[in-house]
Amino acid sequence: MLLNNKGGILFPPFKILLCFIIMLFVISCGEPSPTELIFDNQSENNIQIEPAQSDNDANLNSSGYDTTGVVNPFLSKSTIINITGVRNTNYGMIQSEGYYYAIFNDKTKPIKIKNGKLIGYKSKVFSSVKFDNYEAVKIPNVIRFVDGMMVRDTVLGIKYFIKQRMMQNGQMHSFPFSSKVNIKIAADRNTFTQFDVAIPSEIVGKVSLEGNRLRKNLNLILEWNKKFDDNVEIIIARFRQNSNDTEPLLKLKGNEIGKIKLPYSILENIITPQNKFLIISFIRKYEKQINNIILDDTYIVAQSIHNIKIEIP
Amino acid sequence: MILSFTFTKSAYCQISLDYFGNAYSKFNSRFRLNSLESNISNYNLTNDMELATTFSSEYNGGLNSSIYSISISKRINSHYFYVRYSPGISQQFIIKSGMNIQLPDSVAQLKTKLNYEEKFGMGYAFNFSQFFSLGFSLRYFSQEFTEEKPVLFYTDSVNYISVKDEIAKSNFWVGDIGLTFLPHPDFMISIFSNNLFLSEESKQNYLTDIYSLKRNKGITTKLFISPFEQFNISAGYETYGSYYTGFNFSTKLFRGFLTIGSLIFHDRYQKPFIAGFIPSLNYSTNFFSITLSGVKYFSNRSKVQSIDDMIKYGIHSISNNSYSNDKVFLTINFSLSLTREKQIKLIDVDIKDDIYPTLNDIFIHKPFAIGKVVNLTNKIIEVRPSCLIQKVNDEIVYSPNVKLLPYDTVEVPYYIFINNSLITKREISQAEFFVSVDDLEPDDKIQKPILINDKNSWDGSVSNLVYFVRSDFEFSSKYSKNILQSFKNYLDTINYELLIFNQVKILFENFIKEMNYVADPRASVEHVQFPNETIKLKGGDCDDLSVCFASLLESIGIQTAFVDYKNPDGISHVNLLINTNLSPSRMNLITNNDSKIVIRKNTDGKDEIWIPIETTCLKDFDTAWNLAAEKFNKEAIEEYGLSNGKVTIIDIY
Amino acid sequence: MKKIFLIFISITSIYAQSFVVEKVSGNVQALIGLNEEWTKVKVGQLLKGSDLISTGEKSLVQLNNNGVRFILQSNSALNINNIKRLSLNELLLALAMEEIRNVPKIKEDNSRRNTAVYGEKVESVTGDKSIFNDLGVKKLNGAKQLAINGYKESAILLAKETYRKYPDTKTRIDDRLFFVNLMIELHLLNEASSELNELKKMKLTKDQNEKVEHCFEIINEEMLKNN
Repeated sequence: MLLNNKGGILFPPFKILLCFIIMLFVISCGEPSPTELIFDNQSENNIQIEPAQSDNDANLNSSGYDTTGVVNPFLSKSTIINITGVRNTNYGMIQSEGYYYAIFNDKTKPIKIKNGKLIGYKSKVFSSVKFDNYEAVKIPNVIRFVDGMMVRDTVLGIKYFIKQRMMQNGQMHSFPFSSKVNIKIAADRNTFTQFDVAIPSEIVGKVSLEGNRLRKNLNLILEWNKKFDDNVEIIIARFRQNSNDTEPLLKLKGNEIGKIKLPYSILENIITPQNKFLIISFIRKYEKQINNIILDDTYIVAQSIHNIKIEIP
Repeated sequence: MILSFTFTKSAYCQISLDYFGNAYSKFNSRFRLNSLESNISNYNLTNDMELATTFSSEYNGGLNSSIYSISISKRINSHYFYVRYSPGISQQFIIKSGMNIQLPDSVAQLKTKLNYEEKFGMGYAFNFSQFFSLGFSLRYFSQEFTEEKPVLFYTDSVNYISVKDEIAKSNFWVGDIGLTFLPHPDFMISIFSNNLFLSEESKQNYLTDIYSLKRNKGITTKLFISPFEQFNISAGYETYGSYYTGFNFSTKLFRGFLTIGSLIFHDRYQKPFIAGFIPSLNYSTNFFSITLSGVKYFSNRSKVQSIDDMIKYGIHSISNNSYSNDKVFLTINFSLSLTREKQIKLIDVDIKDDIYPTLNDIFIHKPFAIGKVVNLTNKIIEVRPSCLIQKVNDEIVYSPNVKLLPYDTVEVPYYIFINNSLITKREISQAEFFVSVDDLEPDDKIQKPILINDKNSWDGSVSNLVYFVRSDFEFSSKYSKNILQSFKNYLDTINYELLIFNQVKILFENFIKEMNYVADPRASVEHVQFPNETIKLKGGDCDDLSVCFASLLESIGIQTAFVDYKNPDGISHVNLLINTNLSPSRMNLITNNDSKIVIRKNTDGKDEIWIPIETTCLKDFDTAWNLAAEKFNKEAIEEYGLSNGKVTIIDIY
Repeated sequence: MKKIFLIFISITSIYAQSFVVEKVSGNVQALIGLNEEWTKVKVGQLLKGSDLISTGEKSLVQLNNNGVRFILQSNSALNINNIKRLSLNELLLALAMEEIRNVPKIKEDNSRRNTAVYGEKVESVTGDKSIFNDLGVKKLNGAKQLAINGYKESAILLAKETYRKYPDTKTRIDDRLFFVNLMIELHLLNEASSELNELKKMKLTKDQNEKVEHCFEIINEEMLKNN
């Protein structure tokens, strides 16, 4: 029996209320769900990140400091045509180059290494390949791959190649940004194909750091000259230890505002005091496919790349 | 104005609102129908202990019910303590970042979780008077912010991104002070600080920098006005530029009061201009109070909102901010100890008289103590004083009811009836004085020591000797009749008119025969013997002898009166006047000297002859008569003693 | 005011009345103190306040108190302390005592009071009335002489006391009218009108009736004046 402090019996409403409260205690177990907040669409925080290299790590690029290879690690295509304008920024020094090349794979002749992994194909030979009437030179198509613990080079055939070295001031007047390049591929004297490839405008990137590593709010600010209807990718790479070779780490998709705030935390266990340089590559590219009697299964890309080497303090 | 301008320059949310809205009224004021948010000074009329539980239901995509808060408060005289556990004062946010990570088998969108909680709070108030109360509040907040961050793992053979949590915790105390001033029962003003004292418990990092509750200092003023008995208006203003106003209306329902209230508020950083409204419905009895209240925001709270505003303006109140959802609250307050609300207060009791058991009757007519009582309510109430004196009463003795106007202070008389009149020992006892409004328990009481005299004690007032005369009538009557019986033959022969005169004479002669001594009057001023004691002891002082002889006469129907001769030196004398029932024209039957008699008009308007008798004269009747007549003529008549109050005739009824 | 008043009273009581008998003619007797027996008064005898002197037919006594002489004519009686000048206040105090002395009226049933003795039986018993009535009449005569000698206040007191102690003297209407006039003279209008009211109830001669009416008129006039 419920007694009050004076020894009297508590009157009924008290008991009813007490029962009511206990009942409410029992049913009141819900937790309010959190309030959802989102960033604006137009935000530097809108980022899509993926690791830069998938499991096909057998095929490494072979172009040294030039990171053009980064973008085409291995393509299982019969025809690969690449027109790339590259700008390299290294401590304020700017160097610009243009690359044009074409590779014709004979998909009937794959090349595999010991463990059965496909590393490429034997190349087919054409009569001539011309970029804007400049005839490309045939050079060995050297690829680098990892065989067990070893890094090896090998020649898979030939590739048709032109290198354009720019002025010291970095102005690449002669590279046809925002223009087009005519490509003429002759299988033999009588058989050829000819088409134009649109070249994107030149990409100019900018990398800066914001925040403080100790406060755990260090961010990499990546900016570029955003253009309408852009297709920009950003590759973040580091140098392979004791080597000039780069090692791609992350691939970011460019967003709508031309600015990305990348939390540094993502890289914090990559950067070591011995290796604190990063290469940020801004890539703007147009892709194209052509199918005719001579060419099929093509991958044609025209791109502008700005490589920036930075040191993480 | 300058102050408010300064504060409004930064951005704030209304922080002095709580879920009770405007439920508080004069009729439910004994329950705490507000909380620390709106009542920093903890002004409260809870009279003992109170338990309050609040349940909340919130619509946030789905309906969630939970315990919002549990509080216990306790009043100890002027001190008021309040403790609140508030699991429901919390808000969680999930911020979906724009960062999408390609995981080995899926795409992850990184999130930041914010968790704000006000876990518990406590309050204290001190009532300096019924007009002024000062108090403070301490509240404990805890915050936890978890940000998901991508981390890249890169080895020779494996290359993947995983997600790591960055956690920042920040707990802190907020202390505030406030005062409440009530110049009039219908007007209350509260002023309190906001975020006056802050004490951080944990280190900060960038997450706390961004997301911590904003704790800008400010001042809130609240007003409560009751223009009509059942109608209240309240308003509050924060120096931040937020304000609210509301009203409520109370009506009696069954055995309690129903209060319907509503409140609207403007918040500087909530939209629209009137950000929301809080309806409340309260039903209170003396023992419990139930409040149903709710918050309805006028802007769309179910819409997913941008994080940018939150980072820009911050959150200032967990329970009420731009992201708060509509809520419904059910609060139940209990009075834990069922002491009723005090309606009257007994300020003090002044004991006018010691208790003289033999003087019982005068205490029925004359209050022995006067209490001072104040009406604490705004109603006319009828107070019933009662008292109990240990060793004198077996049960509480009730005195007549006294009416008190609202907030009036009056004196109430306490009467006593002496159950035990045969007290033989003089001692100090305890008198308990009560005041009650209805038949239930007393509203207030005071205990005071009181002197209980023994039965022979006398307060020195001759008029009170009457009680000693009367107390022994049975004995006296027997004694007188015995003597007169032995003179029956003689009395039968005399003139009937002279019967009384002769009876008096015989009784006196026999009475003084028994007496051996007259005590020194100084020895026992305040001690009076009962007639049987005087006879037994064979003596006494003038009081004892007059009492005894008067009792012998009165007990057989002979009318007597005390003559009290007051003396400036403090030693008074008492003797008797005795009614012979003779008409003045029959004076010659008893005396030739008209100076020996006193003519008194009886109650029928007829003159009768009274004769004075000096009871301390143990010689004979005539001497006693002459002595008394001489004294009476001189002091009462010639010196105008009767007129100037030095001589008083006190009739014994 | 009260203090002065009390001091005044005490002074008068200190100089209690005492008179030396200067001259005695005829039958002059005195009741000394509370004695029951009358004694003859002699020249040179000292009489004190409570002593009562009484003169017979064709007798007189001359008293002297420090040069204040008073002659009591024949067939008169008074107490020595009656020969005293009173202030009006003293008179009022003394009159008030009459009321104070009475048995206060009580509301309760006084059936146990033994008052039934009074009444017809009193009339049926005869006693030595005449001497007493004589004393009463003598006292009234004494009072008149007090009035004539200027002791008007004392005269009224003595008369009133006599009427109470010797109620048969109340039938002497002319005497009463004499004192009524005295009362009016001293502005004791209430006292006078209550006396007159009592007189009106009695059997009056035409002449007496006229006098009563005349006194009423005077009282009314006086009262109007005061108002």
